[in-house]
Amino acid sequence: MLSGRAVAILVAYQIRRSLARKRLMILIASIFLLEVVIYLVLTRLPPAFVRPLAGYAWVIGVLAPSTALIHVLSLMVGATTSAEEYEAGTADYWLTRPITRREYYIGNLAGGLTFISLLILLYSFFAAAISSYVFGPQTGLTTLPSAILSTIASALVFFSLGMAVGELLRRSMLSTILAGLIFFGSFIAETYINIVATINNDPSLLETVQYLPTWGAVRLASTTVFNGIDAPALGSIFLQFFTTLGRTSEILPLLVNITAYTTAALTITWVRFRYTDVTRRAL
Amino acid sequence: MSEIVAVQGLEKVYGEGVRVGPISLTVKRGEVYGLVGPNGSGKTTTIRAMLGLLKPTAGRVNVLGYDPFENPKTIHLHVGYSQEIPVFPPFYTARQLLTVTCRLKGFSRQETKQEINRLLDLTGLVNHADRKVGNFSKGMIQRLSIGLAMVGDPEMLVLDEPMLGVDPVGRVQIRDILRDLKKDGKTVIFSSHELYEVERLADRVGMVYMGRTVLENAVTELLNSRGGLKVVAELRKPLGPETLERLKNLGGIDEVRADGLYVTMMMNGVDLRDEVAKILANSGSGLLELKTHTPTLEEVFIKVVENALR
Repeated sequence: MLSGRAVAILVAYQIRRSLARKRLMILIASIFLLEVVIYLVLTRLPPAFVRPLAGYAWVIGVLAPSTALIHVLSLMVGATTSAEEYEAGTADYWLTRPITRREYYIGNLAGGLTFISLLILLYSFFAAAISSYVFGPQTGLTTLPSAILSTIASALVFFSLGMAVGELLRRSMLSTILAGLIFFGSFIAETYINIVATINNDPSLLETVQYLPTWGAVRLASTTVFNGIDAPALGSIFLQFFTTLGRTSEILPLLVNITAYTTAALTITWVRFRYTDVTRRAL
Repeated sequence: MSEIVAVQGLEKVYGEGVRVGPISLTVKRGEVYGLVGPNGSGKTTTIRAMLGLLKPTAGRVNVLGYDPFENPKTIHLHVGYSQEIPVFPPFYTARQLLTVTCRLKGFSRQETKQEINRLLDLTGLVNHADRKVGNFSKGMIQRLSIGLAMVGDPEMLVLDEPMLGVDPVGRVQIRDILRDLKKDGKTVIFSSHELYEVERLADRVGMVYMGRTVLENAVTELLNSRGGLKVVAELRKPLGPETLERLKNLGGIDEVRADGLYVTMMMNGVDLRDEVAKILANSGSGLLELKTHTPTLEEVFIKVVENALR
């Protein structure tokens, strides 16, 4: 049986560990900096351009990090959640306490996810607050909870991929680089295919991108928001900012993509962790 | 005494082609067991297999009646462990780490508080309880690690190189803790390549060399039977050939060496000092002194290793 106490202790530990990591803190700071810069730029744009968008300014702040930054952060958290524990030797500490491997795995997984979720929650409310303050009353804020939830769901893909690579390699830097290569490789491939499909006017090419890990992860939050705020024209303006977002109005295929990658990555992580030795810290 | 740990033919093949084993040992309830051997001999592999951190390639490991790899939680409820080089999350304080272990062992808040006070007192860390462990010295880390291993007064303690990197004062403290545990009848397994520590503290010893068990026995028995006694006699006059021959013919003496006024004898397994003293006293050479040198565990180990290599 799963011990709630053990899982709760590990969740608290993973949050503290993430907060103690400088690289992560730099990335978090850059997310908030991005928010500030976006709104600063918007205030400098011609009023005629900004006025129709002013009521939806919160959307930009909520979606901007979900294009890339939140995935980079998720893969970093994922890769270090597993690999750094072996590298630092703290896996030995935890796995010689009275906890099962299942509790350790679930605790670490939940801890990393809680940390990412809290961050998404924080910057989303920050974006909503700053938009209301700078651009006045915001429209469609009822979509904010589903926007936050879909961002959390989309962060799962690279968090779990990072965890899987971290568990396989058990070297945090190498795992972060490799998981980062998967993300940027997929991102670039998707952009390239989108461009080629547009130039050749060949929609069949767009079928291919559906199998890439970034497809669901990058699109889910924006699709949820644009479906929710009922402003398609506005949606296409925003989409021009994020060229790789593409256009899809269906949530289900995106969720299937996310679920498939997340399940596969978490299964690999569990199988590798459950049936192999706890690697000793390199002395 | 019943068996608490049984390792039978443990073998481990590491990815780089390094092979450890076969290692076999048994630890009985209530004994202090010293696992000795040079660096890289397989001590830590054995300990990690006993704690379920490592899956043996071959052989069987049984701790408290369980397979540790399959039942780590049960094992860690009853076994306290201190790592060779303890590593803790550096942002935790000693008190927080002790709290975590107490909570994981199922203690209530009140029990946790009492247990922490007991262990901080025992390990001499009362004044450092609220300092982050990232700022601890090696000795403090080692003492904290032993304190953590002792949370909940476990049935058995496994200490991997508990004296490593500890200053002389810290060593005395750790030695005292181990002596108290021995007095309380706890089962303690500790590994070390510092054999004088093992000789001082252990009831039984298992020797591993180049990845395999070369010997397992009670320390006192080992010192008597394996090391033998080295006896040096100082005489007024050199010993005659006849007396020398009589000494050589005494069953149980491996070697007799005369060097001027000194005669050195190696007794193997039997104490023949009475007989030797009588022969020398009646030899007419004038026995001045008979010095006995008891072998150290280190000497025994070297002898055993030499035999194993032959």
